[in-house]
Amino acid sequence: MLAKKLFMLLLCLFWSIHFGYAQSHNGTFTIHGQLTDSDTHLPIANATVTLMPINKTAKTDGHGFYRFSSLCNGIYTLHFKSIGFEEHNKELNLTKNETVNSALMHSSIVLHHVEVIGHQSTLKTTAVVNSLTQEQLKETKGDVLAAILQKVPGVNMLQTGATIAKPVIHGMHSNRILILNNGIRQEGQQWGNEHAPEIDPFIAKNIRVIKGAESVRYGAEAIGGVILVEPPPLPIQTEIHGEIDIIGQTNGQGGATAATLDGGIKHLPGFHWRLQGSAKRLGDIKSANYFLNNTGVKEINYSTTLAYKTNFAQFELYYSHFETELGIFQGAHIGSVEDLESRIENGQPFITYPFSYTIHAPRQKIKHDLLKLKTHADFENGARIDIQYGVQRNVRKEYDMRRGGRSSIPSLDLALTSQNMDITYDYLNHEDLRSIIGVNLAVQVNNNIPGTFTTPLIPNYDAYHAGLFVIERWIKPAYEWEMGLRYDYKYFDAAGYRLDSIYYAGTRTFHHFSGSMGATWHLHKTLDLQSNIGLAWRPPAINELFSDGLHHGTAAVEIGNDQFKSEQGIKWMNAVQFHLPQFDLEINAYANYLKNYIYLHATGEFWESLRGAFPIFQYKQTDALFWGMDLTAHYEMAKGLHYHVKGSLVRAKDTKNDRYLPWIPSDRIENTLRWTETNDTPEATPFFLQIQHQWIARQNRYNPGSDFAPPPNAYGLIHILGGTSLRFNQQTLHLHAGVNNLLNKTYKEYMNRFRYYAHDMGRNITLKLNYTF
Amino acid sequence: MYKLHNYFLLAAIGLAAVSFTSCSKDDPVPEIDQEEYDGTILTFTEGHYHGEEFHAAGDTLQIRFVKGSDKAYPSHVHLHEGEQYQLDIAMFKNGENISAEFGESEHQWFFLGSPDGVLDYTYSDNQVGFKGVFTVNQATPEGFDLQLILRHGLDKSQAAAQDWNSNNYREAGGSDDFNKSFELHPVEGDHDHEEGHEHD
Repeated sequence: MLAKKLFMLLLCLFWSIHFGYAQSHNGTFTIHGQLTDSDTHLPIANATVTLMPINKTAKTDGHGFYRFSSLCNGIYTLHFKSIGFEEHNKELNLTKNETVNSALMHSSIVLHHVEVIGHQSTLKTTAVVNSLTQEQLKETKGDVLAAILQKVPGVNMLQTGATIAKPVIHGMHSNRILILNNGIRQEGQQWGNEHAPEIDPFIAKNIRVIKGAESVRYGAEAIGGVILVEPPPLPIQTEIHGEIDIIGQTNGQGGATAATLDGGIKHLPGFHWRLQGSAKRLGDIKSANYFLNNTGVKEINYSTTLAYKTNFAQFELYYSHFETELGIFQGAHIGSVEDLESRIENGQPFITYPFSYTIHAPRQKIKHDLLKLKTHADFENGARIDIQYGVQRNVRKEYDMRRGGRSSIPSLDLALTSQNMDITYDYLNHEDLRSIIGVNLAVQVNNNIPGTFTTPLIPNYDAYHAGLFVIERWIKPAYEWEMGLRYDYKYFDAAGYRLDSIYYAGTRTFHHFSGSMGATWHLHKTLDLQSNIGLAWRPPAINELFSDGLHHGTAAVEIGNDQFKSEQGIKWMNAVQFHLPQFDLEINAYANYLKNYIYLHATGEFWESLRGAFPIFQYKQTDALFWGMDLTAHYEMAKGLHYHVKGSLVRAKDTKNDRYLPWIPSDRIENTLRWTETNDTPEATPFFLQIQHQWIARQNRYNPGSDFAPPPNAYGLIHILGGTSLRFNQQTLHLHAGVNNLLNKTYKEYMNRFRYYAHDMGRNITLKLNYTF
Repeated sequence: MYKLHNYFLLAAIGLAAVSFTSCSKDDPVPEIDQEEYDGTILTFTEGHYHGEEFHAAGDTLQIRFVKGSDKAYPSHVHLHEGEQYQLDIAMFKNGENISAEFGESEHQWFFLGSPDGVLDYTYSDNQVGFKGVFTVNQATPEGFDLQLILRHGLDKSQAAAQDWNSNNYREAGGSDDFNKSFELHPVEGDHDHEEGHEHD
């Protein structure tokens, strides 16, 4: 009902703005069009278009489009310019809105010498992609990856206390979304709800979220979406440049620091390098009224990139190390359901302690190393090939409170080695038809390191995966079409011991076709439509197949099923983008149907131990339907005064049993008012100040008895943020200061697994300095 | 440069091929779960105080709890009014007594369910409860369930941890290491039932 009302409201808003715009058109016109390569017919991105005699300039976007608006009638000359192409002029007498498409010829000028500086590929897809702006990345520096991603509408996080957070796209997380870290599929122990992605967000200068089921391009498990985390391209200069970040926060009484240096070698043209590192230290986080004992974090990360570019190829070597130690709120350590129930009843910890930096059991220590080798070559006919090999080693140690001095021995000690080989060949097939074919190979070896004195939750296993795909893209000025087909094969070979040293072993094979079809329509200069339908799948995760024992973290017995079929999903994703000079609106609507959806079902039975009775949960399969909407809009209310709104709603149901699915984000809306000073000087960029209100509804779509506690109440938070930049010579100092949860509100978030035990974070004042040189 | 590219390509593919084929999982190793245990034996020994020291010198009575069962053996026992009993608790794993593993700073036993004034208990081991003395103040017409709870990781300085029969013991934090009960029936000296016998 609410969704229907919201939809009607948005429809009304859309039409009123559209008519308002049309009526205010009197006497002003627009010129827009697309710039293409006359040989390949491909769009030319980043070309300069100058409109004379008024000397207005515009850059073409990734699809070659440009636009000038608010023009009076008269005679104009359009001047098109792009490196490697002959400059071109077009004259027109403007008496109405005009579409001016142009194709540029390759230039044949004689150059005395050419320095190849390379290029970075853009993401070409008809799927709905949301990117974080550089401004958003600066403002969220120091946060964990999942918190940063929340800037994207429809992306939330699943938290395990204050220190562990996983991204959730349209209600899906863990093995239902893919994260690509610098082009390599991130492989950790992502099956665990309390296992956050092992990525240093300071590396990222480009974070994008693909909301469609992009299994064809990225492989199985992209059933809910894909997150792309990428470092910036290496610089073309040989001089040393870099940046330093210093971040401080009052809540946790600590902060983070990061540094990046990059450059080249004069005597070795084409060679470039980068060194990067970051460190983070926080003590106990504070809710509005009390400290959350043992919630500190220690983190140290570093990475290096070496690249060599020739006139036709690029070679890249990338290595990164991520290492973190994080405490898990001590009040969440439970030994029985009675413990859990008593804490839920109390609503907050029975005992609180003063602030401390000490991290003790329960805690996690994780190391993640990634080595990537990549080569990229361009051919004269416009084709390109990318070959990359990645190897990752993820070592996860989880320490529990144990007796007999065993708290220093990990209860869970896993070493996962993953190797990936990806090859893609992208070529112009025919006129406007571009084809991409690719192969993905992967091998994983997971071992439990003996000596934990605890029966492992998951077995040792080998997993082999092979995938082959083809994507065809048809690009026309007014629309683009895309179709893709993929075949995947996955093989598991597992062996382990259950409680009481009972041996088990088994192999499973999964293979499936995936498909996708999508289109983008540039319906009007102000309106784009996107629609994409993706057929995706994922094999059951290792815990869903083989777990059989007591999960201490949840005080429950979890039982897998090694006969599970793979999950198969079909996601239909649609986007409407509406742009006016002072108004932008984007609405995403989606439906995702999953066959054989795997979920944890409470059997109602108990497992008796001397410690008490533990509820038995069994993994089961059903069919599920997810659907929902995301909204973002921006309106410039007056010069320098901007209003932003962002909202999302997700609905998820077990369609076989007509029950709501648990752990689905509740409806939320975020309103922001931002004032930016209008005078930009060479010494400083304008100062800005914003106030934001977040409202998160109670999750009312919940079946009583399906959770240990009912969902918490709705809550609203107010945040403020301000900032400016100071420039001197070629150096810039960015300053940001903000207060999150300004009113120090006491609240609990439904998507926080520790809501049973404690409240969420209270007021937090942050100061962020970024110095670039 | 084409050569360099080809070499790089061959090296990458070769490296991947070698690595892909050279990895496989280790044989799993069974772990002996150290957090679980097989059984708990409660031993009540009749005795009396000499000054501040308790001499356990009389009859003994044992109650066993074994893994996989929620019952006590025997499930119903008698203790005599006016008598004092030393209670020794032992935890076993693979036939070995592992009680020493339960460090005194982070463990404590609580005994709940006794009607007011019927029982008294004194910790003899620095507020842990593996050794202590029960005093049976009065007989009751019916037996009651005596709940035995061993808490791990609690804060012993908290008010909720000060009494042996603290009903709000959870407020001292920690988690259950043991939580079972048996039926205790304090009886007068000439009660019909024999000690340690199951009622039904």
